[in-house]
Amino acid sequence: MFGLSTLGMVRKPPRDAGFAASGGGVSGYSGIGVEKFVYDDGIVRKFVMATVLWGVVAMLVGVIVAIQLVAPLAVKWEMGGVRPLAFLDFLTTTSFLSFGRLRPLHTNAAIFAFAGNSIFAGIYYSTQRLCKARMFSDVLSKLHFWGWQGIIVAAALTLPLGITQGKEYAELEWPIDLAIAVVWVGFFGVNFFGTLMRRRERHMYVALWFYIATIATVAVLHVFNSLAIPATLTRSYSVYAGVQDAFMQWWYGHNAVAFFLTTPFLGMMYYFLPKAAERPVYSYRLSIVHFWSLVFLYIWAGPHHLHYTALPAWASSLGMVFSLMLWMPSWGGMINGLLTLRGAWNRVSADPILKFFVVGITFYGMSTFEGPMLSIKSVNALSHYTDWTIAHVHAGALGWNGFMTFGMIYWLLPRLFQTEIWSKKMVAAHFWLGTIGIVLYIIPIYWAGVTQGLMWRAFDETGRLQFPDFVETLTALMPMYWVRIIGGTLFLIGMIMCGINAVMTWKARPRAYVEPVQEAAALTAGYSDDPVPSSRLGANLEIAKEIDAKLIQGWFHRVWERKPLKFTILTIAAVVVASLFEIIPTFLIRSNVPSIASVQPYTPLELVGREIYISEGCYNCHSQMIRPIWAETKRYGEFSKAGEFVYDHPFQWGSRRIGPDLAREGGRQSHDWHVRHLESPQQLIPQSIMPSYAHLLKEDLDFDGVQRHVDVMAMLGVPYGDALKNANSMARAQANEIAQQLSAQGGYEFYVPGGGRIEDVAAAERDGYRLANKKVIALVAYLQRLGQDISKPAPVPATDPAAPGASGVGAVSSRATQK
Amino acid sequence: MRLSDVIGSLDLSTFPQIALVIFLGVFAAICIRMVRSTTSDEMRAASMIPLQAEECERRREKKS
Ligand code: HEC
Repeated sequence: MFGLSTLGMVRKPPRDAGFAASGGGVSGYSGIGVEKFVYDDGIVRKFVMATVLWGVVAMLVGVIVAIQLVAPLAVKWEMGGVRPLAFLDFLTTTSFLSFGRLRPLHTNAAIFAFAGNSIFAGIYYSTQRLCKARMFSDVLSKLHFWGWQGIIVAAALTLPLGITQGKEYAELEWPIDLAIAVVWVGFFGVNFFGTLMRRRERHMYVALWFYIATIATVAVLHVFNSLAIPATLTRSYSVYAGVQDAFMQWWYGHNAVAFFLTTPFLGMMYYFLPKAAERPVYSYRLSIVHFWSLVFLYIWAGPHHLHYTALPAWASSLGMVFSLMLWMPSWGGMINGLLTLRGAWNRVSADPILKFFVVGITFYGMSTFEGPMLSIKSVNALSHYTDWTIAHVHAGALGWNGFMTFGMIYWLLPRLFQTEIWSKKMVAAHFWLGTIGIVLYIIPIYWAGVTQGLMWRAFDETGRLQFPDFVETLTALMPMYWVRIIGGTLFLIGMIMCGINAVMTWKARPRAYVEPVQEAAALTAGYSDDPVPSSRLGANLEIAKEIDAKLIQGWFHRVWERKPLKFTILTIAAVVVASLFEIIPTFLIRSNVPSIASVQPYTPLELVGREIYISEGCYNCHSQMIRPIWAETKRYGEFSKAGEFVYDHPFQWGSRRIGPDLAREGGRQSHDWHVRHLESPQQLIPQSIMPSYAHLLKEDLDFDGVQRHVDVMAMLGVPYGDALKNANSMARAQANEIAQQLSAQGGYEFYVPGGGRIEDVAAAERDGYRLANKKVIALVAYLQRLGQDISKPAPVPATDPAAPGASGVGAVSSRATQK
Repeated sequence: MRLSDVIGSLDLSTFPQIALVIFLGVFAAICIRMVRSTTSDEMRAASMIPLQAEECERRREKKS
């Protein structure tokens, strides 16, 4: 670290002299109503440096996970008797470094640490200027900064340990979730709205509207998606199950894209681009239309992540229609940004900052065209679960969020550190490295996505799948994966250069920062809105006159533009109302989740196995959702039904198939196959890129903890008859049963680290090598259960549904073990 | 009778339609305001807000 605390080295400024002198009223410094104040740039300096630091970390982890997808095959390469890449082996065998755990770390770091700190830097800098006021509270600013960094560190520690809720982009466990809510709403939100209240500029510039929408909506999304009941300090269960959980998750997930990665960056575009280009935004009117259309439309678009799944069709169609509608306003925004540079294009070729902005905005345009296209159901049928989505995301994240951030940072550095930027050449080099990096990343990954999508659905002349072996569709992608690593590495190098430039510029800062005292008149307290204009209509109904005066002549909107509270409430209303209209029917119309009588809760052992599945992040590579598409049912079996997931807290449908779908995995393979596959996938499937999970064969299962998990599930309404009292012993019984079947299949009875066979059974027993007590047994139990229920006969209805075991787990405890 | 039965028996499909009409109305009104020419001075003034010079910029300009 480079001593963030010293960044705040400033002479003690007159904080908010106007307020201090006058207690909020009119002060007499230099003329009536004029107040003096100083902007807090120390907090912006901190956020900028944090952005750079976490940017490097996020992209480094990104390159590592990219390498992990080629490593299992690369370690086997031989050249003249040596295996030059054998050293990469640790990337696929170390439990806390495995892909399923690091990939969430990469996504969380990129979104919440890199983009997050960038947003905060941009907002803290521009809000003060647009409001002509210092931030509301320096203490809140600092709490916000350190609180957020604490959350990031907590994420970086817990995710590799396998502590996760198992919902994409919302993986962090409940104590961290609580901290996020406090920091976001209590520190950031209060600080921001406090500043708005004290502003000295009546009109709230459009960038502020985008920030308001960001803060309000992200709070709503985070709170409702994260609702969960804790079982332990490090494990909680989503209150939603199956289809409803999936719906909430993608309502959240897509709107995180909208309100964390789009609206704040648009606000920053509307502020920093005019600053850098030294001309006002092309059309202020267009920016207003841009704003409201995004707020109205985005919130409905989430279900486009769930096309052809068990989500009700009306919801996904609604998502598609709204996504298509988003295209036009988004392009309006892009054009507005690009045309802001009218008359300044000659400067673009010379100024790398403007270049970053131009490329960033262009990627905004590309992504907002591609997004609506991907939301068309028939396109989605091909693209979903493939790398196409990954390419789309990176065009947005690297191109739009990354380049807008870089442009902003390079514009800010000399202003914040009050010295020339350390190396202009390096800025230019960063631009080109970044641009080439993005191109080398996205093109092969688009190619990989389309290739794999087409291979999955290819049939031969006889009507059979042309590539029935899943790995075939994967090995075809390896060359593209290598090019991606090169592209990602170039982008990372650019990011590191940005970091060097930032640190060197910081080093050249003056001994004390000059803190110019600003002057602006306070807003008068007795302000009243403009009078309602008189209607231009003559003999007419009163109501028509009113509509003309208030609505058509735009009086209502002018009033909103000046009232932060009203504005915020309206934005939240637009978002919440739209959400409710989707959420209520999804949750409460029973017909949306038809119940299937034969679907029963997981046994206690399977439930713990599911915990391991979530904790290892298997969902990062495996889906559990077979779409009603011919090629898919042919490959995986009967398509998934909503009623199959009613006990899935959280759902594990996944979004990317690096490995095959597992929704009907139960019964496909023997226990022994699974154990050996988990020990080392390559010993069964040489071309597999699945990491090794040998540690699950060594680590003891915590049978005593089983009960807690069952209890929480029961609290959430899962009918656990017998298991409510003796989950522990039920789990042991099932584990022993599976262990017996396993040795009958010729599998391990004991597992000695290193894989050796057992000579002395008593010694092995004493050393705790018996497989029946290991985590792997629970995971196998879960895998063998997947997708089985639907083909089982429905249990005989009991006369008294409350009787223990009637519909509970006791009756089904051995179903998964009937191999 | 459960809450889900109550909600299930409502004709919910009309609700989003009503919401959409309201949204559309507000949105149309916003668009109308945007294209009206009488607001152009106001728009120009608003768009200049980020470009108002701060104290430090003013000083730099004075120096040069
Ligand atoms: C890096 C991505 C990745 C991760 C993470 C991953 N897998 Fe896999 N998995 C694959 C690939 C690729 C295959 C196909 C090749 C093979 O069978 O090994 C596969 C195959 C499987 C199969 C065999 C399916 C069949 O019937 O052919 C099972 C079962 C499985 N994985 C379970 C898991 C479990 C459980 C986890 C988490 C502990 C997990 N996987 C994590 C990539 C992954």
